[in-house]
Amino acid sequence: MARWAAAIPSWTPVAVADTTNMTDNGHQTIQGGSTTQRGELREVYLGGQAGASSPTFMVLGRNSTVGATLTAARLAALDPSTAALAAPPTNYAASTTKPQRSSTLGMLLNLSFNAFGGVVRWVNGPDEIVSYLGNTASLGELSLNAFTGGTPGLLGSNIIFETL
Amino acid sequence: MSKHSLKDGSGYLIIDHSESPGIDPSDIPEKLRSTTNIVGPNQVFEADVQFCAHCGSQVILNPKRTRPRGYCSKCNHYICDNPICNKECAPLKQLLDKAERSIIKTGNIILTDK
Repeated sequence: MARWAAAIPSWTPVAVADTTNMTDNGHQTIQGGSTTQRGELREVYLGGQAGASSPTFMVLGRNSTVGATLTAARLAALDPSTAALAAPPTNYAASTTKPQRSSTLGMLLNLSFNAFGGVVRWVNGPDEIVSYLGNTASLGELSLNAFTGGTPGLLGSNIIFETL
Repeated sequence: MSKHSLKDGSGYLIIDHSESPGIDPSDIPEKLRSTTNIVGPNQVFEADVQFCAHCGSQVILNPKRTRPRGYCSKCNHYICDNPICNKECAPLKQLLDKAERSIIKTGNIILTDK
């Protein structure tokens, strides 16, 4: 199926503990577009933009509380001939009900780096699966956020995923 | 397609601190110490990555690892160091399939066998 790019060009992660409300514009989250939609991650890219040393402990994982009343951020199909989805997934960083990182499934990827000049790129293997399913907790969202600790710095992020 | 090696189909991770002060081990939060790659100033870390067949968390195939790596013979796949994942075979793919079937049949995620 189609591949999509969910980008947030410049933002500063806000570190939060597990099962604690995330802060608007301090996380990047992808929520499934319907109760049955499944999507698989293909790539995560983080490019540091901080102006001083900023050890940033980024994790990607599942949310035990999903966001509601979302403010959608950028989401673009990679292929120009991609058909529009009836229920597209949502890339968001702000919502009325805030998402919360799961204490058990909240750390699928540890992408820690220094946002002062650092770059992280993770590419999923063809046989590996990191997916969301539906749009409810705890499988329906994947979020990129900062773990408590360090000094999160300004960065740009891009998540490429495929809806199935 | 047959899998010739456990490393077949791996993903890829690069942490590039070639123009960065990098991560100091003392900065790493306690909970992340076991999973954080310490990439110092002017260093670049590259490795194959896979996922634990049981919980789905990342398994970095660090070539410098000396301890035996977790492996499930039923899944024929690497697993992480979490003791729960090493106790019994409970594949994540099976859980996702069960959840998907349950959603299609009932509209809800019901994961019990009853």
